[in-house]
Amino acid sequence: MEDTQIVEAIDSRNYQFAQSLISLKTSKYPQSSYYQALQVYLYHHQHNPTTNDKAIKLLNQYPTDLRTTSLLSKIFLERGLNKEADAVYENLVKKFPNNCQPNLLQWFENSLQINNIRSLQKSTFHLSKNGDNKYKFWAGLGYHLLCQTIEDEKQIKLFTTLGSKILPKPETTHELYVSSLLNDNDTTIELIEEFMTTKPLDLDIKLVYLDLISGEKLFSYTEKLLFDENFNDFNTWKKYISSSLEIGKKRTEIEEKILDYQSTRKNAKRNTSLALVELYSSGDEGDFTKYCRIYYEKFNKKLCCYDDLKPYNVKLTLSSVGDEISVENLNHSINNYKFGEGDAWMIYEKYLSLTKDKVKTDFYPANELVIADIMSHIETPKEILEGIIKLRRITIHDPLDFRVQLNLIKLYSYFNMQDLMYSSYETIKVRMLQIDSLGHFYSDNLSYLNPSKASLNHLVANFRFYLTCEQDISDNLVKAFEKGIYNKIPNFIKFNNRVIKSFEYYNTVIQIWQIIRFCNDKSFIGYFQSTIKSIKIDEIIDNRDSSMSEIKPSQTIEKLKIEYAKEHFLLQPNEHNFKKFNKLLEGSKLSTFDTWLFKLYLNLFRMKTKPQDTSSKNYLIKNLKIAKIQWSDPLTKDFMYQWTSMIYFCKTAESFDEEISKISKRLKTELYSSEWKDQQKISFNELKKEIKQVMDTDFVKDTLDILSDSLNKASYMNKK
Amino acid sequence: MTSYQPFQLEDLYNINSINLDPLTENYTLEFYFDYLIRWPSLFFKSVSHDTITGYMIAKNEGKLSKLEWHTHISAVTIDYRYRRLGLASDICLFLENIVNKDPDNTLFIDLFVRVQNLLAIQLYEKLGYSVYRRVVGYYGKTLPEDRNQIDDEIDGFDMRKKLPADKEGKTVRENGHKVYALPQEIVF
Ligand SMILES: CC(C)(COP(=O)(O)OP(=O)(O)OC[C@H]1O[C@@H](n2cnc3c(N)ncnc32)[C@H](O)[C@@H]1OP(=O)(O)O)[C@@H](O)C(=O)NCCC(=O)NCCS
Repeated sequence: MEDTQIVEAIDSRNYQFAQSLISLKTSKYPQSSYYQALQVYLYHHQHNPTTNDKAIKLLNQYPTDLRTTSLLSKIFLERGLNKEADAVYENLVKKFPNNCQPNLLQWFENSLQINNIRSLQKSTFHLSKNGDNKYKFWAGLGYHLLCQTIEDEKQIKLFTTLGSKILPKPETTHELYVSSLLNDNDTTIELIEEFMTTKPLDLDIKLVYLDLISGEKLFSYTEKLLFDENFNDFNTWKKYISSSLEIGKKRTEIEEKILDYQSTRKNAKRNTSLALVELYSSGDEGDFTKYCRIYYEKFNKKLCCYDDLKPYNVKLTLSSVGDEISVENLNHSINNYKFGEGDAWMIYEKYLSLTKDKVKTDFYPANELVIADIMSHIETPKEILEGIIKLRRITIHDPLDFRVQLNLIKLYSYFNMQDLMYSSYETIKVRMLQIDSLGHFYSDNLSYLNPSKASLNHLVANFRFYLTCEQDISDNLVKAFEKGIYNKIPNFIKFNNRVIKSFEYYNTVIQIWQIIRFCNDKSFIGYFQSTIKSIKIDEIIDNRDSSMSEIKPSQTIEKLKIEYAKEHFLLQPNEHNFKKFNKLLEGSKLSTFDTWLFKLYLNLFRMKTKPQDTSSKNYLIKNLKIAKIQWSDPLTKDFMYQWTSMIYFCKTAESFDEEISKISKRLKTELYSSEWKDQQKISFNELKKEIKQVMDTDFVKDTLDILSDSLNKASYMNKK
Repeated sequence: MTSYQPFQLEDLYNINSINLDPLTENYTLEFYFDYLIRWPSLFFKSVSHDTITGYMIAKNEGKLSKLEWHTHISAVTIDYRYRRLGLASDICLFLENIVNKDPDNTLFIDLFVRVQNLLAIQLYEKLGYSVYRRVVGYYGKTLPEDRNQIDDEIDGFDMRKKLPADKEGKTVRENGHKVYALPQEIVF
């Protein structure tokens, strides 16, 4: 029998079997600490009240077996006893200071796995005592990472000093990087300069060095990089200019050097042309305008022209665009438009014939202008529908332009045209990490807007991404330490934080759970029930990219937290969870409907926690009526959201009190009743008529048919 | 204007407008980790006023004794708003400037490109790359058996540029587009 069988038996709640296996092993190996740890692990799962005592007893026996230390610290962590979890290893350091390296390495790896920076610092600090330089840099980095998690300036200073004292002389650029994080500027400069005498700097250290030096030193280093080493880098030009001025060089002198450089190097035009603008941005106004103008003339046929000059806030006299229908003239028109001249749609239409020659994967640059125009006129349902028609027209020429597709999704979502949203989402191929930042375009409120098996599968696929992500990050963090790639590690840790505390992750889990309940889906119920239970939200990091559309996602951090508190109460209806839910609701800024809805939940929950108080029941009897619901326009997704929310509520209330259950069932039947069926259709037909009066072409008619069809498919009536 | 900076993992959150390009691949996290950890200096980005405008992912591999020690460009891509400025060319030169000396000092840089991607081929030719061999069926779904069954749809060119470490020019050849190889024969 393998020992893993015991763990598996415990994890799958096969407790009796697990106990029999443990007893067998313990009688055979009474000295083995591992079987004792397994016994405690079993107690822990069985909620045995002696678990803590037993675990501490084992801790005090100083077990060194790696399996034991790993399991024991896991038990402590799961029980919220973080100090004791660390003590598993700290005790060994005290007792066997020269003989516990494998345990320390395990502590270190575990700390990365659970993103515990304090333990990371402690474990690396103890490792560093064995004399190996590698561990000294680990420990230094450990101190730096710890400083990133605290705010107390005094502590930061102390830890930084302690860290810097551990470090030996750096031999690689990565070690040099760790030194730069902990040493004062002068020491770092010295270390870098010494290093430079024998080995080349990598880009990271070059940038660190450039940020630390000034005056004469900065001037000669930037001069060397730009003029001798072909380091054609705009920030270096900026530093070259500022240091030249600092050491008293005249602007005309610097200007001459830049012009000279420009005339001899083919690839450097954009950087040097802007360097001249930069040079005079704090100097003579006439020269500044002159070089802005030169820049504009040189680059107005390139799409980047406006964005390059934008930070300088320059007022330019624009040159007129040639007559020829060419990409260059189109780009020139686009730049002029952004500087304030011209009409978006006129530019779009004028050069449209260029799309005939372009490859499918290139985008027609004028799309950007008309998308912005469309998205700035979407106040009314009519404008939104017009917007959809216009954007769909753009896709004829540019089916793959992601900006068009992303905005289309937003406009479709206004009417909850689910299949069209999905098809646009598929077109842009959101993959891997993009799920975290762009997944919301399709999955925003999906559990309310399309509670179906297909949506469940979509969300579960997204959830899987997060599972692999977590594993990938901790494995690679260990690798990065092992390989000494220190200048990537602080950012790996930041990235890890963003992923494990990601809004979209939490939102995916809760939406899966909601659909499981809505559809009575049995396939994942056990797994997600325990996932929801185990999620404790302290901090949420919102990684959603909302720069791609004017319309922002509807789900908010505040509401997500409330939804979790609600589900936590439903899974564990106790006073603590009630208070948490109530506290989140107090002072929240929800929509009128949501405020009303969560008040229903609050009263429902109070019936559980304070059964003697009849006011909650009376409130529900009074309010659980179709007439009390303040519906939004039936045309909109808000209406569907409200409808599903009420179904969710009724389903929940059904399992409470008998009388409330009866009312809920009645309301649910009414919600499904056919009276509601045609409201959306009728409103949409009205809207179609209005549109046809202003836009009556075959294309518009066909598009409207497609949209009606999509609306019918997504109708709330189909969600039985 | 362009500045160069090392790519950091979190940058993956700021390259949506680059990676939504239909010809730009989105890789697994493991892929990005691998390059960041094994070849950290060959994975960098170009930046304009804090906007990431493009990036380069490359690696060094092969044995020097077999004349295979080289730099391989795995991905180079530019935001659509910053194209036709010479940025891809500049990024490639930036890479060259790193690997053509110690500690890398590779013999050549290479990359694979679709035979039909004339645009990219032109870009690399202007930078001094030439075709080393035509890899028959490189982008196909199945492994081909016959090296003479060329097909523009799925064949790729292995393009190379020799670096100063290859003093005698042994790693490149003329008329490489007439040399056909099968994907299974390509070690690097
Ligand atoms: C291919 C790509 C990297 C080119 O980037 P870029 O910065 O615009 O390229 P450059 O400005 O350095 O172009 C250099 C030369 O390549 C050729 N070229 C590049 N883009 C071209 C285009 N759209 N049409 C025609 N030729 C083109 C030209 O010869 C150009 O020189 P020129 O501008 O003096 O005429 C960019 O279009 C891209 O990111 N595409 C998507 C990803 C991809 O295909 N990567 C290449 C895989 S091998």
